[in-house]
Amino acid sequence: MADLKTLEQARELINQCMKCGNCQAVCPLYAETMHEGAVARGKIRLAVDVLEGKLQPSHAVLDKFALCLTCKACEANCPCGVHCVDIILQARAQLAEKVGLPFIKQTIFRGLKLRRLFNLGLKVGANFQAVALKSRREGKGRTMRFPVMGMDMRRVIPDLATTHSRDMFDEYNPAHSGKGKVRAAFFTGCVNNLIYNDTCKAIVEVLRANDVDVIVPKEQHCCGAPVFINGDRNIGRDMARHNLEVFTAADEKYNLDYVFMACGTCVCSFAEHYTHLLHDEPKYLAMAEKLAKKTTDVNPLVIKVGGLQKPLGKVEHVVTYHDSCHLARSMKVTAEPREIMKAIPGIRFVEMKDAARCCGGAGSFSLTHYDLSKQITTKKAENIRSTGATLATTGCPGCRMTIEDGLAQSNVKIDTVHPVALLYESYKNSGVIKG
Amino acid sequence: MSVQQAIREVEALLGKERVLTTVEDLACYSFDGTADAPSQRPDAVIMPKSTEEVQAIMKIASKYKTPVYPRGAGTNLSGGTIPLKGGLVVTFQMMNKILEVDSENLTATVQPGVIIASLNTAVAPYGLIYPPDPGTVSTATMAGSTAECSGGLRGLKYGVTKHYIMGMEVVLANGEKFRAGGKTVKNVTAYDLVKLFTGSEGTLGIITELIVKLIPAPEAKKSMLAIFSDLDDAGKTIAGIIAAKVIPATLEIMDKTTIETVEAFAKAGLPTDAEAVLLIEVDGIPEVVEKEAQAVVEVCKRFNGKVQVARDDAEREKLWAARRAALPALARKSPTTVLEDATVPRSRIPEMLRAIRAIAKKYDLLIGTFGHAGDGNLHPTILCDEHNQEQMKRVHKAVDEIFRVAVDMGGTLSGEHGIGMAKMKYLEWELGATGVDVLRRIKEALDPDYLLNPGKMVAGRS
Ligand SMILES: Cc1cc2nc3c(=O)[nH]c(=O)nc-3n(C[C@H](O)[C@H](O)[C@H](O)COP(=O)(O)OP(=O)(O)OC[C@H]3O[C@@H](n4cnc5c(N)ncnc54)[C@H](O)[C@@H]3O)c2cc1C
Ligand code: SF4
Ligand code: SF4
Ligand code: SF4
Repeated sequence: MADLKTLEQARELINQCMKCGNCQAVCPLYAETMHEGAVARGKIRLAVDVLEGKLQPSHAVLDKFALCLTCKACEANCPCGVHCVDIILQARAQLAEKVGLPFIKQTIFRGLKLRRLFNLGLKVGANFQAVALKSRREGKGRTMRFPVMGMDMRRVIPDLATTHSRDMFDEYNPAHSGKGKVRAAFFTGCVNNLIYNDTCKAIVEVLRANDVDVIVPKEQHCCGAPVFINGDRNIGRDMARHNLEVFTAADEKYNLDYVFMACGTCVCSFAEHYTHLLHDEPKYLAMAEKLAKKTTDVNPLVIKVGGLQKPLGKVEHVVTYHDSCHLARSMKVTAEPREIMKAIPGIRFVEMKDAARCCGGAGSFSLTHYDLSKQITTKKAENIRSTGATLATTGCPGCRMTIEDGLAQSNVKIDTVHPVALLYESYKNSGVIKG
Repeated sequence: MSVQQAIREVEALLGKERVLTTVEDLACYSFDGTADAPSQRPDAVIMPKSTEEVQAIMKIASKYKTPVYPRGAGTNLSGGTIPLKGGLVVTFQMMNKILEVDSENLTATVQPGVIIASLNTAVAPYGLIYPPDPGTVSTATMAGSTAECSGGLRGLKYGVTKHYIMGMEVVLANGEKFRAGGKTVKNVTAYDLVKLFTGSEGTLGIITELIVKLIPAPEAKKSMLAIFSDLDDAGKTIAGIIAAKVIPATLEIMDKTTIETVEAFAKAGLPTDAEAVLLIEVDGIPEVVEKEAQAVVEVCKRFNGKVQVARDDAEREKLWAARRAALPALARKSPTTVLEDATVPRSRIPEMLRAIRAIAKKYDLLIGTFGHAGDGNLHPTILCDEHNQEQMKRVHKAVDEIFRVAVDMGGTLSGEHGIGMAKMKYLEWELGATGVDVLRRIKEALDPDYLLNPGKMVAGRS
């Protein structure tokens, strides 16, 4: 397949696979479907068959590659260190270019690309959400009244924040002391921006209490991951270029020490994906590489700036933590969130079974494969429930949404928060931050 | 199209959900763990949930003379699950229940699709283990490893799969079923049918239930690594340990090429100037383990080995990480990794290692050898590229020669990976023409139309 040039380049990765099948042991989708086509080994074979012309590119093949959570459990368990997800993403991109994405995804992604329209649309959506969504009797969240963008009607979606997170802050939010020692720009990501303004508020305040000047660039847009992970590289590249320009401008203006996120997927975009996506555009590649070096998840940042050295007030909760796939396996952030929570007096931390197993959300996967996604989420909800925790935490808003859905569907009444939000509570209780 | 008719009948019975027929799905069952093997898509993949369904599938298959290939996790290394002649792949992932753990009789009864590691997790609370431990314990199925008669790292002391299979239920090619064996330690009723179907590689019948033997878990373990700068010293040590009346659970060897590769990729801290390393683990009652470990260390030292003893679990884990890295490290070095399992009487290990080295030189190939030295089971691993036809010719000649040498030394074609397709042509070397004919007569008595896993182990009359 001459025109699948970049998949051809993935050949080297493909060759490293010795077909041992070890990935079966950990792939959440294999556990649910028991189909060889759902696990890395099968998908690698599909890539080979497409490369060798034994399979014609088609929507059916693309659908098979869509059947992946990009959770990287397979990579972590692969004795040969095969970059399975890279191969799968490469195949999605090549096939999408060749046969086009399914109509529904195209529509969503085009909408995502137009930042203003996208934000405005969701703002209007927040005010009128009662029209489209009916409130569930118990607990938070709403179920869909009619299917929007191919979402499944049964899905519980958190209330859209009526105030977008980014609107709560100025561009420049000085350290509380007035003597900022560190300058860090916050890439909120869309889920945090649109839904979890509690997380954003807590994070900005905790950092400001630790002599950090927090910059919130106003023109930032969705990181693009939902788009390029599904194979639409062109729109993905547009979004990447836009964010790189916005944050490079912020860097030039404020001389940033860090760019930070509170979303596993967003961190990966800045830390890894942008340099790959724009590898052939020197101007943007330079920006991407410079920003990648400054990129960090908020949990390690909070510890680095001395966040645990402050007087900590009591927060009475039994807490468990879910490792976001991207945060844990791509960014290797697993210890820091736990360290934060264990440092807070009053918190009893309990590990759940399979904490690092995918929650089943995986961005738009949960929209396109709701039933399969739900089966995986139900297991996660059960693992959370059986810890006896009163609060479930995770470092990724995507996971948080999925877990809230899973807990609601299983009738488990446990709230979810970001670990740093607990530190914020603790600061309020000790008086570090005036509540 | 009788195959299509057969598929339609199976669909009518099981529903479309459990009968996969799209080209994309079929492509994913066109291969297994075997390198340098042909690939072929089946016409359908079927996922039964019960013995009755398996019987019905076989009845339909025999009505339409459609080939059937039983498949577990598809991790075998002899092409055993490749649907060479098209037809139906029947896979057992949905028959994955542990039906009973009987701690009084020390048995477990399982469905064919149970993963080996899941069985071990289930019996651990009883202080029991199911010892066969191929490198794929976390994926391989009970029936797949039974049909392959898999071995593993603990083979020297604990034996291989066939030593743990006490009874089974089998569906024959014509759809009839029978049971043989059971929970009794002693059972000499008639021919040993349980043994016949163990290692039959899916060519005689379909295993739909297994009764397996469990044993008490060893209380203590001790691992050691011994480094040798002379191959003969390593060989003498292997013999010496057995002569000292110690049967280690594990006695593994890695040759120079393997050591160098593992070091290059995994940085396990192995000395790259060594000719061979032995990895030894003794297990059992703590006092005995102490004594045996001492005896092993003495033997190693007597034959000029430098010994490290793991002091705790972390150190033990480090030693084993090096051994586990052997195959992946070799595999990463080249696109294709041809892994064989020629086996010789343990006293001839140094001789066999030298022969393999000479063969590598003769055909200008890189061959890393590691394996279960204690039971004479070596894994000469040829690093090559299946797209390089000229090189593959040399590889095939080298493989021929390795098996010739092994058989000449009084060894066998397969210690644990089975015959499958690639080794069929050597069978006469080991069994003679009459022996091969006996295989054929057994096959034809049970499966006259060659419906079950055709093209494997027993060649049809042509
Ligand atoms: C990395 C790696 C390491 C390995 N290490 C070892 C090792 O140390 N020792 C060892 O012995 N092997 C080893 N193997 C080989 C392989 O793991 C074993 O043969 C394994 O037990 C096969 O199990 P499976 O479920 O994958 O069977 P499959 O590969 O699916 O099938 C194996 C055979 O069993 C037949 N079969 C499957 N199910 C049934 C059934 N229900 N009824 C009748 N026949 C059936 C198939 O037709 C086929 O012939 C290794 C393989 C790999 C890839
Ligand atoms: S991707 Fe890795 S784990 Fe999966 S089959 Fe290939 S080598 Fe084995
Ligand atoms: S990334 Fe996750 S879902 Fe995708 S193949 Fe690997 S383990 Fe399976
Ligand atoms: S990763 Fe998810 S949450 Fe983060 S910006 Fe992108 S889409 Fe939004």
